[in-house]
Amino acid sequence: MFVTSLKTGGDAISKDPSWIPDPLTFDAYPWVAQNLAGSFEFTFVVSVGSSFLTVFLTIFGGYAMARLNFPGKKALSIAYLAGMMFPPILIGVPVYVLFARLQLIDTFFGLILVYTSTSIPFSIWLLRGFFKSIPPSLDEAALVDGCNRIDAFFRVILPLSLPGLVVSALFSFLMAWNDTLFALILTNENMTVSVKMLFWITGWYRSTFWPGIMAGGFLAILPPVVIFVVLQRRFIQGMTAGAVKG
Amino acid sequence: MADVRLEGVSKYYGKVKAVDNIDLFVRDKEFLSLLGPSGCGKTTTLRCVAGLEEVTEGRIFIGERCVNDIAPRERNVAMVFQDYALYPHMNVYNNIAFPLKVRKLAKTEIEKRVYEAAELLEIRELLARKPKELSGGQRQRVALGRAIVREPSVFLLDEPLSNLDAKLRIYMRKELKRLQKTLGTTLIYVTHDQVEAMTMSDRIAIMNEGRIQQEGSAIEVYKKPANMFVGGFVGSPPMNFIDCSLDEKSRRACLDFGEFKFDINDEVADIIREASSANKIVFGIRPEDIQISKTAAPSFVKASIYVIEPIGSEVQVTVRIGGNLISVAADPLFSGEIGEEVFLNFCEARFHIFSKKTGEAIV
Repeated sequence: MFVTSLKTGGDAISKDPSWIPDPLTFDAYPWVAQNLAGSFEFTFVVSVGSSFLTVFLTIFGGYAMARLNFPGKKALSIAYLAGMMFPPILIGVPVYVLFARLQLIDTFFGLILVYTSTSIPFSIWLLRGFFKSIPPSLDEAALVDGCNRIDAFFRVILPLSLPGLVVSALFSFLMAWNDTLFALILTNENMTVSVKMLFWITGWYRSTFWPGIMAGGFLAILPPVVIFVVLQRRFIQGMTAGAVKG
Repeated sequence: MADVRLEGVSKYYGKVKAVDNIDLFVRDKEFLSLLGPSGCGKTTTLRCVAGLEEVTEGRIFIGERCVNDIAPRERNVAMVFQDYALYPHMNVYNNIAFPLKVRKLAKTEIEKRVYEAAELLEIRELLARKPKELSGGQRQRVALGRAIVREPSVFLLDEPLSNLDAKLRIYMRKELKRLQKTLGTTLIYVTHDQVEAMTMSDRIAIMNEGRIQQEGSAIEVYKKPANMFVGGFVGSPPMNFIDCSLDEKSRRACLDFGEFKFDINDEVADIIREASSANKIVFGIRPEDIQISKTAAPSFVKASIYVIEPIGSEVQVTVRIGGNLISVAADPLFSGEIGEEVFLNFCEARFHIFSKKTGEAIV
């Protein structure tokens, strides 16, 4: 993708492709800035918004699932698991109908809402595992030392669970950033990067500037790759939290 | 400062009775150990006093106050956990200061108390460090410091020495005992190590299967065990138990072990007869109350050496008499070969008789 993004339009579709662009040109990138900047911005806002909202909504749920006993806990666990097993496309039409009535089509909040909803089950399971890896004796020490449950959570548990929260946020971010299905269903004018790229690739727009599309694709995968490379240890820690001592 | 009283305390987990109708009184300033094997309910009892577990039945008093419905933070107890439970994201100073900050004490007062505790525990130079930079013994002192600064009514310690190496454990036993006497605070200590309980405590409450088997000083529970469990649990090596019966056919009062007989006085024989079926009793004697010799003598019983274990201060000799293996604490210079013939003399005044049916002490 990157190599093709450095070629001219003609070289990109040449019958004799070459690994090394000749001539080498960066013209594709200003083209991306002109045609995809708005989509990048939209996707970024939606992804960041859904990741923050997901963490905010699941942090207490994850803690409760890890630490507390309450009626219906088992049923709720199964419900969260079941939620993860549903193919999202099953709810595509009902979501569209609902959002249309709520006038949330083509809005930041509409996509943030749907991405948050689909991230919540996974995030709760992730955070549950993370909270379980924190020794319960720390909660209890805080309770004996003078805290109530909420105090103990904010003063002791939350600072220790920051890696888990970061991982949960990043997983939500990636799920939103990479999504095409709901972006396709719930947007018209405001397109995410994945939808716009899809339209360019399928020839929806008359002319197809392949180096530009390749440049767009390369830039689109950069954030997830960078995030993963920089934080890969945290990812693995987040995925395996609680695996050894439940 | 306060005494602690448990009245009919039980704790169920579903159908499992972890603590079964415990009555316990811990005097003000007393060091009491809850001693017992794993799963006996001692930690659960401690957690009930702390408020970390809700009692199913019964009442707990700290001082004059019934604390059943009072949250842990309002019971004025301080607890040291088995894994110390130091807050990893705080340095030592902030760990110790934490309970005072939660209570919103003035900064100057917090600083004063933290430094005083650090001086007492000799951890002043560690205040800037994080828990992961500390050794096991240092972490334990920090955990103690966090408990001390609050000036609580009661200290609750849950096996705080179990994660330390043997040498450090011996050192910290002395330090803990000294600290408790210095502070003059009521202390309830949970341990499965009988040496810890006996060396540190004013009194010991021995637990098994959720119940208190016996309460008393170290000497009392050692010299006068209330039942076979206490006799076998306290003391290392443990008490020897041999099935026997009262010999009713012989002219003199004696216990019949099958392979040999042991004379007892008439008074003891009468007690045994009254208390239990004389055919179903267990003879108990501690290894140090058995004399071992290589030469025969009147009333000495013949045995053969099964194994010899020298431990420095004494030699633990296990001998076989018929189908019974008996431990004897011999002189450190004693030596012998496996299978060698030896002779045992049981000290007349030091044996115990238990009911085989109930396990309770008769004599």
